[in-house]
Amino acid sequence: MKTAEIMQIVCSIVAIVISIISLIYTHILSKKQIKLKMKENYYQPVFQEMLLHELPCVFTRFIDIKRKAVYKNASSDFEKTIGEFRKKIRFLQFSDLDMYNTIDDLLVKIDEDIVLLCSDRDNEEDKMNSIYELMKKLYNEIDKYYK
Amino acid sequence: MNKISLSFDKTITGLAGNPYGVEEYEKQVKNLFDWKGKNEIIFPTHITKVGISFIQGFFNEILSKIDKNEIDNYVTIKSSSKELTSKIMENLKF
Repeated sequence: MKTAEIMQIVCSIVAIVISIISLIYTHILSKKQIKLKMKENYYQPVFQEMLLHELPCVFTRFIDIKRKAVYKNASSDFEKTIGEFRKKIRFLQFSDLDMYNTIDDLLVKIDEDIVLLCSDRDNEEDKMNSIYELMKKLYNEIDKYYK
Repeated sequence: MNKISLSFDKTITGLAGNPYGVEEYEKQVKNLFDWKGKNEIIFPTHITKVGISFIQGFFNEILSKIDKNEIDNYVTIKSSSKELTSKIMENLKF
Protein backbone atom coordinates (compact mmCIF):
# COMPACT_ATOMS: atom_id res chain seq x y z
CA MET A 1 0.00 0.00 0.00
CA LYS A 2 1.32 3.40 -0.94
CA THR A 3 1.86 6.14 1.63
CA ALA A 4 -0.75 8.29 -0.10
CA GLU A 5 -3.36 5.54 0.27
CA ILE A 6 -2.53 5.05 3.95
CA MET A 7 -2.85 8.79 4.50
CA GLN A 8 -6.24 8.76 2.76
CA ILE A 9 -7.50 5.96 5.05
CA VAL A 10 -6.19 7.73 8.17
CA CYS A 11 -7.87 10.98 7.08
CA SER A 12 -11.15 9.15 6.51
CA ILE A 13 -10.99 7.54 9.96
CA VAL A 14 -10.21 10.90 11.58
CA ALA A 15 -13.13 12.48 9.69
CA ILE A 16 -15.50 9.72 10.86
CA VAL A 17 -14.36 10.10 14.49
CA ILE A 18 -14.83 13.88 14.33
CA SER A 19 -18.32 13.43 12.85
CA ILE A 20 -19.31 11.01 15.64
CA ILE A 21 -17.96 13.33 18.36
CA SER A 22 -19.77 16.31 16.87
CA LEU A 23 -22.99 14.27 16.62
CA ILE A 24 -22.76 13.28 20.30
CA TYR A 25 -21.91 16.87 21.30
CA THR A 26 -24.89 18.24 19.33
CA HIS A 27 -27.16 15.67 20.95
CA ILE A 28 -25.98 16.57 24.48
CA LEU A 29 -26.26 20.28 23.71
CA SER A 30 -29.79 20.00 22.32
CA LYS A 31 -30.86 17.90 25.31
CA LYS A 32 -29.47 20.60 27.62
CA GLN A 33 -31.25 23.29 25.62
CA ILE A 34 -34.57 21.46 25.83
CA LYS A 35 -34.12 21.12 29.60
CA LEU A 36 -33.26 24.81 29.88
CA LYS A 37 -36.20 25.81 27.70
CA MET A 38 -38.48 23.72 29.90
CA LYS A 39 -37.12 25.47 32.98
CA GLU A 40 -37.69 28.83 31.33
CA ASN A 41 -41.21 28.08 30.16
CA TYR A 42 -42.59 26.34 33.20
CA TYR A 43 -40.50 27.36 36.19
CA GLN A 44 -39.31 30.86 35.36
CA PRO A 45 -42.68 32.55 35.94
CA VAL A 46 -42.55 31.26 39.53
CA PHE A 47 -39.11 32.71 40.17
CA GLN A 48 -39.40 35.82 38.02
CA GLU A 49 -42.09 37.70 39.94
CA MET A 50 -40.62 36.68 43.27
CA LEU A 51 -36.97 37.48 42.49
CA LEU A 52 -37.43 40.60 40.42
CA HIS A 53 -40.23 42.27 42.32
CA GLU A 54 -41.61 40.77 45.51
CA LEU A 55 -38.44 39.83 47.42
CA PRO A 56 -36.46 43.02 46.59
CA CYS A 57 -39.53 45.06 47.52
CA VAL A 58 -40.10 43.49 50.96
CA PHE A 59 -36.35 43.36 51.66
CA THR A 60 -35.76 47.06 50.94
CA ARG A 61 -38.81 48.07 52.96
CA PHE A 62 -37.35 46.14 55.91
CA ILE A 63 -33.63 46.84 55.54
CA ASP A 64 -31.87 49.82 54.02
CA ILE A 65 -28.46 48.32 53.43
CA LYS A 66 -26.84 51.65 52.42
CA ARG A 67 -27.98 53.49 55.55
CA LYS A 68 -27.62 50.39 57.72
CA ALA A 69 -31.17 50.94 58.94
CA VAL A 70 -33.89 48.47 59.83
CA TYR A 71 -37.63 49.18 59.70
CA LYS A 72 -39.12 46.55 61.99
CA ASN A 73 -42.73 47.43 61.13
CA ALA A 74 -42.11 46.01 57.67
CA SER A 75 -40.87 42.65 58.97
CA SER A 76 -44.25 40.87 58.76
CA ASP A 77 -44.53 41.44 55.01
CA PHE A 78 -41.04 40.02 54.55
CA GLU A 79 -41.95 36.95 56.66
CA LYS A 80 -45.17 36.46 54.69
CA THR A 81 -43.33 36.67 51.36
CA ILE A 82 -40.78 34.11 52.56
CA GLY A 83 -43.70 31.83 53.49
CA GLU A 84 -45.30 32.33 50.07
CA PHE A 85 -42.02 31.61 48.30
CA ARG A 86 -41.62 28.36 50.26
CA LYS A 87 -45.02 27.28 48.96
CA LYS A 88 -44.24 28.29 45.37
CA ILE A 89 -41.00 26.30 45.13
CA ARG A 90 -42.60 23.03 46.22
CA PHE A 91 -42.62 21.90 42.56
CA LEU A 92 -38.82 21.60 42.79
CA GLN A 93 -39.27 18.51 44.98
CA PHE A 94 -40.15 16.63 41.80
CA SER A 95 -37.54 18.08 39.46
CA ASP A 96 -34.54 18.75 41.69
CA LEU A 97 -34.79 17.70 45.33
CA ASP A 98 -31.29 18.91 46.28
CA MET A 99 -32.06 22.33 44.85
CA TYR A 100 -35.40 22.39 46.69
CA ASN A 101 -33.72 21.57 50.01
CA THR A 102 -31.01 24.19 49.46
CA ILE A 103 -33.48 26.98 48.67
CA ASP A 104 -35.93 25.97 51.39
CA ASP A 105 -33.14 25.89 54.01
CA LEU A 106 -32.02 29.36 52.94
CA LEU A 107 -35.58 30.72 53.22
CA VAL A 108 -35.99 29.21 56.70
CA LYS A 109 -32.64 30.75 57.71
CA ILE A 110 -33.70 34.18 56.40
CA ASP A 111 -36.98 33.91 58.35
CA GLU A 112 -34.99 32.99 61.47
CA ASP A 113 -32.72 36.00 61.07
CA ILE A 114 -35.71 38.32 60.59
CA VAL A 115 -37.09 37.09 63.93
CA LEU A 116 -33.71 37.54 65.63
CA LEU A 117 -33.22 41.02 64.19
CA CYS A 118 -36.66 42.11 65.37
CA SER A 119 -36.34 40.58 68.83
CA ASP A 120 -32.99 41.83 69.93
CA ARG A 121 -31.28 45.21 69.61
CA ASP A 122 -27.79 43.77 70.00
CA ASN A 123 -25.57 43.49 66.90
CA GLU A 124 -28.27 44.82 64.58
CA GLU A 125 -25.76 45.60 61.85
CA ASP A 126 -24.36 42.05 61.88
CA LYS A 127 -27.86 40.60 61.67
CA MET A 128 -28.77 42.95 58.81
CA ASN A 129 -25.64 41.88 56.96
CA SER A 130 -26.41 38.24 57.63
CA ILE A 131 -29.86 38.59 56.01
CA TYR A 132 -28.30 40.48 53.08
CA GLU A 133 -25.69 37.72 52.58
CA LEU A 134 -28.37 35.01 52.75
CA MET A 135 -30.42 36.87 50.15
CA LYS A 136 -27.39 37.06 47.84
CA LYS A 137 -26.81 33.33 48.34
CA LEU A 138 -30.46 32.65 47.51
CA TYR A 139 -30.16 34.53 44.21
CA ASN A 140 -26.88 32.77 43.38
CA GLU A 141 -28.37 29.34 44.03
CA ILE A 142 -31.34 30.06 41.78
CA ASP A 143 -28.95 31.41 39.10
CA LYS A 144 -27.11 28.09 39.23
CA TYR A 145 -30.37 26.30 38.51
CA TYR A 146 -30.57 27.99 35.10
CA LYS A 147 -27.01 27.13 34.08
CA MET B 1 -59.54 20.84 76.09
CA ASN B 2 -56.02 20.36 77.41
CA LYS B 3 -54.45 23.81 77.79
CA ILE B 4 -50.67 24.18 77.76
CA SER B 5 -49.44 27.66 78.65
CA LEU B 6 -45.89 28.26 77.58
CA SER B 7 -43.61 30.55 79.49
CA PHE B 8 -40.49 32.35 78.37
CA ASP B 9 -38.29 35.02 79.83
CA LYS B 10 -40.33 38.26 79.81
CA THR B 11 -37.56 40.08 77.91
CA ILE B 12 -37.82 37.69 74.97
CA THR B 13 -40.13 38.79 72.16
CA GLY B 14 -39.12 36.35 69.44
CA LEU B 15 -38.42 32.61 69.27
CA ALA B 16 -36.01 31.22 66.70
CA GLY B 17 -33.85 28.18 66.08
CA ASN B 18 -34.71 24.52 65.57
CA PRO B 19 -32.69 23.18 68.57
CA TYR B 20 -34.29 25.81 70.85
CA GLY B 21 -37.73 24.69 69.62
CA VAL B 22 -36.92 21.04 70.42
CA GLU B 23 -35.60 22.06 73.85
CA GLU B 24 -38.70 24.07 74.77
CA TYR B 25 -41.02 21.29 73.56
CA GLU B 26 -39.18 18.79 75.77
CA LYS B 27 -39.34 21.15 78.74
CA GLN B 28 -42.83 22.56 78.45
CA VAL B 29 -45.03 20.32 76.30
CA LYS B 30 -43.87 16.70 76.05
CA ASN B 31 -45.23 15.53 79.42
CA LEU B 32 -48.43 17.55 79.23
CA PHE B 33 -49.56 16.74 75.70
CA ASP B 34 -52.79 14.78 75.35
CA TRP B 35 -52.24 12.41 72.41
CA LYS B 36 -55.90 11.39 72.30
CA GLY B 37 -57.59 14.78 72.57
CA LYS B 38 -57.34 18.44 71.66
CA ASN B 39 -54.54 20.62 73.00
CA GLU B 40 -54.47 24.38 73.11
CA ILE B 41 -50.90 25.64 73.11
CA ILE B 42 -50.77 29.16 74.44
CA PHE B 43 -47.84 31.40 73.57
CA PRO B 44 -47.42 34.30 76.02
CA THR B 45 -48.44 37.73 74.75
CA HIS B 46 -44.90 39.12 74.92
CA ILE B 47 -43.91 36.66 72.17
CA THR B 48 -44.65 38.56 68.98
CA LYS B 49 -42.52 36.62 66.50
CA VAL B 50 -41.81 32.93 66.02
CA GLY B 51 -39.41 31.66 63.37
CA ILE B 52 -40.17 28.76 61.04
CA SER B 53 -37.06 27.02 62.39
CA PHE B 54 -38.45 27.17 65.96
CA ILE B 55 -41.85 25.86 64.80
CA GLN B 56 -40.16 22.95 62.99
CA GLY B 57 -38.16 21.99 66.07
CA PHE B 58 -40.98 22.60 68.55
CA PHE B 59 -43.55 20.48 66.69
CA ASN B 60 -41.17 17.86 65.34
CA GLU B 61 -42.20 15.08 67.72
CA ILE B 62 -45.90 15.93 67.52
CA LEU B 63 -45.76 15.76 63.72
CA SER B 64 -43.95 12.45 63.83
CA LYS B 65 -46.88 10.95 65.75
CA ILE B 66 -49.85 12.85 64.32
CA ASP B 67 -50.81 13.14 60.64
CA LYS B 68 -50.25 16.79 59.68
CA ASN B 69 -53.55 16.77 57.77
CA GLU B 70 -55.35 15.95 61.01
CA ILE B 71 -53.40 18.34 63.20
CA ASP B 72 -56.47 20.62 63.63
CA ASN B 73 -58.09 17.82 65.63
CA TYR B 74 -55.22 17.77 68.11
CA VAL B 75 -53.65 21.22 68.23
CA THR B 76 -54.92 24.77 68.37
CA ILE B 77 -52.69 27.76 68.91
CA LYS B 78 -53.31 30.91 70.90
CA SER B 79 -50.81 33.73 70.49
CA SER B 80 -50.36 37.49 70.64
CA SER B 81 -51.83 38.01 67.17
CA LYS B 82 -53.96 36.39 64.48
CA GLU B 83 -51.02 36.74 62.11
CA LEU B 84 -48.65 34.81 64.38
CA THR B 85 -51.23 32.07 65.06
CA SER B 86 -51.75 31.66 61.34
CA LYS B 87 -47.97 31.51 60.68
CA ILE B 88 -47.58 28.74 63.27
CA MET B 89 -50.56 26.75 61.97
CA GLU B 90 -49.49 27.16 58.33
CA ASN B 91 -46.02 25.84 59.10
CA LEU B 92 -47.46 22.97 61.10
CA LYS B 93 -49.32 21.85 58.00
CA PHE B 94 -46.51 22.68 55.54
